[in-house]
Amino acid sequence: MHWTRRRLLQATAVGAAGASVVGRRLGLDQPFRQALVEAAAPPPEETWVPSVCLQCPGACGIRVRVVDGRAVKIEGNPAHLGSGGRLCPKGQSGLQVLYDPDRIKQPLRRAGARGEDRWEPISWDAALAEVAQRLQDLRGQGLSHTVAVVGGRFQGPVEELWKRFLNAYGSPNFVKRGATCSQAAKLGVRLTQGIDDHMARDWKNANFVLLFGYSALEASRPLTWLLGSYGEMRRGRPLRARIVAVDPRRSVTAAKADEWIPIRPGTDAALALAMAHVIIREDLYDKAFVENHTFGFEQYRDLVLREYSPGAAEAITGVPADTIVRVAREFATTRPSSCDGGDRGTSGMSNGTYTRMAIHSLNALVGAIDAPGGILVQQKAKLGKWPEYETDDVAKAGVKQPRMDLAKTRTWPFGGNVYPQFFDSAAKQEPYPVNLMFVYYTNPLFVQPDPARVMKAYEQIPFIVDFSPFMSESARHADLILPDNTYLERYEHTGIGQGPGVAVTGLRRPVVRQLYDTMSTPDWIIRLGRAMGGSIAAAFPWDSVAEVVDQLVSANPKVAADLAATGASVGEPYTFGNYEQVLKTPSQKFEFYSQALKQQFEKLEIGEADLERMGITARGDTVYLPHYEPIHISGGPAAEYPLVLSTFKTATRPEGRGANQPFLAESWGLAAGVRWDSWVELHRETAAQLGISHGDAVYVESRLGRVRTRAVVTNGTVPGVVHMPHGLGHKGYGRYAAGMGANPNEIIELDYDYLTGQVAWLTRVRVSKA
Amino acid sequence: MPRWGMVIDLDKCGACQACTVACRMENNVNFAGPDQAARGRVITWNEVLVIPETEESGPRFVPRPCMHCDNPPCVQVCPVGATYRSDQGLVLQNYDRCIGCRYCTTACPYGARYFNWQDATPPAPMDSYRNPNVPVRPVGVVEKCTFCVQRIQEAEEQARAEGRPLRDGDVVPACVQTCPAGARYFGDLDDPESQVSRLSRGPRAMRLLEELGTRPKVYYLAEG
Repeated sequence: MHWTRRRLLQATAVGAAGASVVGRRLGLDQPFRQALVEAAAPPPEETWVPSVCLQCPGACGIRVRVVDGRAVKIEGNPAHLGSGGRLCPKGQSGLQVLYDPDRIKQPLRRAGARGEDRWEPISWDAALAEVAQRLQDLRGQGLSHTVAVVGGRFQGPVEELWKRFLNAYGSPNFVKRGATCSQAAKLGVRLTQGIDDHMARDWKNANFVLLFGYSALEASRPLTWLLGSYGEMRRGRPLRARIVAVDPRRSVTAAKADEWIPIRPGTDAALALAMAHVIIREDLYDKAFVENHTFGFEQYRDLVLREYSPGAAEAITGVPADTIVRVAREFATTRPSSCDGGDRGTSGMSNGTYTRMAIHSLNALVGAIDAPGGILVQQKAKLGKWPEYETDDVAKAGVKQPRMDLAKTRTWPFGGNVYPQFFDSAAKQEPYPVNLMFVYYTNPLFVQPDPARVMKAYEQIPFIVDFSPFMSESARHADLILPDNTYLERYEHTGIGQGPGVAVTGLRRPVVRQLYDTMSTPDWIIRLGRAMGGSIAAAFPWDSVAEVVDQLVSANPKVAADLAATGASVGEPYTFGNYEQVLKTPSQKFEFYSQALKQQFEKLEIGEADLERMGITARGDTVYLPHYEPIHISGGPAAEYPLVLSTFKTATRPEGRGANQPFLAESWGLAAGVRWDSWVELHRETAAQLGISHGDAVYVESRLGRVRTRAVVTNGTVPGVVHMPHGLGHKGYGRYAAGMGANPNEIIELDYDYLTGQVAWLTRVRVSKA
Repeated sequence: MPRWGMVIDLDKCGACQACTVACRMENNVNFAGPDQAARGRVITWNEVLVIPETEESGPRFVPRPCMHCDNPPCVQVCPVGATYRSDQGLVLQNYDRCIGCRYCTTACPYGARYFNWQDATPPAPMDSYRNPNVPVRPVGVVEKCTFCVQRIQEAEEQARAEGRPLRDGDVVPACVQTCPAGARYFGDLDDPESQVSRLSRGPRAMRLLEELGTRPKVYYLAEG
């Protein structure tokens, strides 16, 4: 309506020849000549298209202003609770994804050797025919299980479409990349609370928030919503909430918090358990919740009182005992309070799962489970069911084959997807070779520790299809590139994965007509399924992903109506204290003593040798309780590599992506004062010992090799630990990203939390002047 | 006649830089690229300043748009009258008159003014996201934050078309609109009931470099 008025005004002004009218309407600050030109042109067609951001999986609702078919500005969608009409810097930069000058504009077939960057165009039909033929051949030879899909930033129907395809085709190898991120964090929650999902945080109602290794104002999602919660916590209510950040590094969050508690990396469990010691000893815990809704409190209590005194924890963590006692008392008495270990943070460590159990147990102690101000289970809208489908005997035999990533075997007792293991297995061709790999919305040669290791897998896989819209380092080593649409050109429904607790659903839709000869990958999967014929084709009774989305969404008339009207649908207010739904453990209670852990160990017959192999030093019942497992750091030896490398994320980095977006690159490292480059943060004492000054070019070196970057000298870190941001150091990905900065992954030796196959990111390095 | 001002609550700000990016997108401010950035030529109408860490404390973050001073040093020094203070308190730039001498960028104590050393058009197809409501400035002229004057004009046109006065909250500059923490406010400082007026009178309110007599119109609410 607003814009109709404006067009009316413009049309009137064009009719009136008065230059003064034009000048007044367009303002004195504009070049006059340009003003005249624009006044003479017909008024532009303007519309606002609601959609959903995908710079991170926060999935904040957005509205995109489109003028004459050009997308010119992104704003938050006020109807969407995740963004509330606002938007983080990554979301604002999204048009640089859509309009990246180096996007892949059509399907490409490799010409020349891999990595030579020689490509020839191929039509979608020809590409589909070739892939279908290869798949049929493999299937005919009884090798359907040697086809794998690795991914990715899944949204909407695409994950189920891939799984459906592999299931109907006959392969168990659907491998997600969560092991690089939050597997152990999720497992810690699953083993204690029985929920296999990311958690929601009701910060707006909290009076004390304790963050362990979690830069919530930079590195979490939905970032827009978390920052909004932060603003509310500070000034949105009469009582200003208190925030304490425990972290080896003074992140922006720690800088903005009321207190930063430096801690030795990987020792957070000891701190959390010592806090529990104080809280229990001084009778400050939530008796009602503990008595009525927890299991195993006596063993937990005995363990923390016996082994985790503040003094004992000080020796492990470096945090003074006085501080531990004070923060424990504050945390337990400033209610509602809650704590959080982040998604990667404290869990991307060799002891990640137990650490998360220790941290989450504090929430149980203060009654923060499913309570106002506490940790909630993110609700999702009930949408339609996917149609059933049959699989033939070939498929049934294929899916029974062992997974390449050894998930849920004794190697990884709780590993659902062990992304790095998949590649290591493929490199060794064990238990069998991988003959065809689909790489969807992930960059294996960039995001994992030791990408050179991953290249060995690439060398063993004869045919690789990559769906990246950008010429990433992984796409450069594929045989066929079938470029996906960017998120601003796709049609898919989204739910918030974690955020306010209340269900929020959005609909991502093309904001402009797609720019190039690209195809939304879910549409391609449907075509592939249909092209395969037989029972596989029967599993894909649609023409397009839009049909799938419409079927699923229209099964919930309220959601469908909301999405059509405003682009966002908000569910019922959150029901707190819904213990039947949120405590899904064997005892239906919060389990300090994890029966699920015990049951899986018994089922897999985990014995002494396995515990040793997994680096678990605990024995007896302690194995099933939260406890501190001494942190293991890869690489070394310590005498030659005396520093520990830790990695972090800034607010300007959309997951592993973003180096191709100049607005983000130009604002990349605010606190460090760095643009268009990486850096390594060293403590002043460390720098002085090494003769390094702020801004010096340095090498950061591990057993695997070295990277060159620049030094940032700070007192914002625990001495002995150096920090590099992830996200730069690409060997591809377009003109802005290629060659900019350094990728710390190149020097990080792969290590794991052995319960899940979660990547343990700490590694030993040394730093020297370049 | 409104006298436009802004309030930025440093206790709500999360230093995410959404304001910086949103402003550049809205106002056709191009990126400088690594080489020009190394020469200090990045144009950020809004920039988040970093007060460096000390022995006792970590860094502090202060988002800085143009102050739209009521006694602007830049206007005083411009030899050709290209920069001027409008009757609504906006310090604006006439790009056609600017001769690029950069006297104003030196005079501004807040570092809020920027010179166009290079072409402001990004490579195709990024030039597609040009905002048609804001001019693209040529090489050789100075530019800076306008408090999103194009949005002020829009809001005024809308109010005129509906036959009513402007209301508090009608005008939302890009930085204010996007701020995820809700830390930024904009409005009429001459309306005693407006949000910015009330916040600017509060106990936490302060301004930068007041002692220079610039009479800046961006108020900051202290942290803690």
